Amino acid sequence: MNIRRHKTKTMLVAEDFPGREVLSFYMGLKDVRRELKEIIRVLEGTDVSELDIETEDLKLTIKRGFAGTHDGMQVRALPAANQALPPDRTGAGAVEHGPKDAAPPAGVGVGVEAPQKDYLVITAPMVGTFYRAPSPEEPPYVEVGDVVEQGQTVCIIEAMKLMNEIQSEVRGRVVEIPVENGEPVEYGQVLFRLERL
Amino acid sequence: MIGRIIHLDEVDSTNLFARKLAERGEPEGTCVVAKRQTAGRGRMKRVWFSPEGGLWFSVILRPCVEARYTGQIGLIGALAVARVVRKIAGIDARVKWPNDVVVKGRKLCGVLAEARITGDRIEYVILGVGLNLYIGRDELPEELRDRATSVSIESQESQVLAGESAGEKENGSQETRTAPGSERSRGEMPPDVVLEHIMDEFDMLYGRYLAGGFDCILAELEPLCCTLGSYVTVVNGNERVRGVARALNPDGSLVVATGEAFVAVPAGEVTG
Repeated sequence: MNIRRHKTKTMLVAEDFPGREVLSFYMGLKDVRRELKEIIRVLEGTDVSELDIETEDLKLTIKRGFAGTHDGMQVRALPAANQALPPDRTGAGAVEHGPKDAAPPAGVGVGVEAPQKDYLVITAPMVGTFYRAPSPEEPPYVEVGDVVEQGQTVCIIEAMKLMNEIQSEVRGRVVEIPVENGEPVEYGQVLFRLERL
Repeated sequence: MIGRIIHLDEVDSTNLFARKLAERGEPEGTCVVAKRQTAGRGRMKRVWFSPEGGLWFSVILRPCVEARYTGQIGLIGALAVARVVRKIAGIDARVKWPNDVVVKGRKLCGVLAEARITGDRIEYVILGVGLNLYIGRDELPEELRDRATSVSIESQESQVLAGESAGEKENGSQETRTAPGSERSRGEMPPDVVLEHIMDEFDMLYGRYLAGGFDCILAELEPLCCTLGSYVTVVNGNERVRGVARALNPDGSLVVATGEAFVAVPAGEVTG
């Protein structure tokens, strides 16, 4: 399941449950409350266990079937942290280059686990396609077991055909690369887990 | 934004040259332009045919925007080229999302932008532009003839269509080729002057973008974007989205109506 944002709307596209049924919601911040019942109703017919939605003034978490049980649904809605700072009143020089009304990235999709505490992580700074090598013919920048130095290029994320070389901000040994080459990645998604050295 | 311009007769790739400069701290605005590239590249290191007669250049940028918006820079580059070509050559150049300029479906210009990112910070963006300027159809490699075009090819066709005198047939030498188009009937605009026009246009759009965000660019871009309204297949890594391209999002991504949902596509290869 992916959650994608555009303009005032948060779009929910779920295509990975039986029957390939596709759901889509267009939720302005008012609509989130109005459509909450509808969201829950539709989710009840799916395998989706957790759903995070963040808009300008609302952060919404829906969890269900805790620890493998199906004991109903828990809904938590909080005012988003950024609410006190509307985009049009940001300080000098701080220009929002994305959608004017977009909240800070809600980009962590359902099913993306939080990084474990003892590991350093390198996350995706943007939405795009993950590539482990500079071109299909070349070897990957890094492999599991390699030591990554600060400033070393670890991967490419292609967004709108712009090739972004991602450098590591940390030093460590790669213990896991949870994303496959060529896979789309979301903003904030963990790309590498590193063991601190 | 416009800084020094470095002219080279021949280079492997202007993007590579500009990257080396950027790594050594070259400021924003420096432009590297070459008459020929011996190893011109497209995405994923595909070969980009770049003989003399084209305009091959790369600009170093250091935009103060969040890393996740780098993709917008390539679109601004493509828009600047499309607008200049329309103005100086009078041909119907359009932006094919996200980074090409095409005329009637044939590629006129490709943009290869590369960025270096640390954390959420953009170290630099190299905006590489390859514009097929004065390259005759017979000079194009055979496999590109159906897919690529040039400013000279298109202006000649538009002149013939307009019923004007077609001028002398091109004979392979750039000086004697006629360059139709309302403002240039007495000769082709030198590549350096075309570059100046593109840099001015880009500078203006980029300035607006930095001051007001990508919203300021969208209004200019949408009417010139030939992808909108057409049926597309977007291949993004292992994902494939089919549908009608409906709009551009304020972040520059493409909205595709698949019949079941609207999907915002942040990246990918568009085929018709």
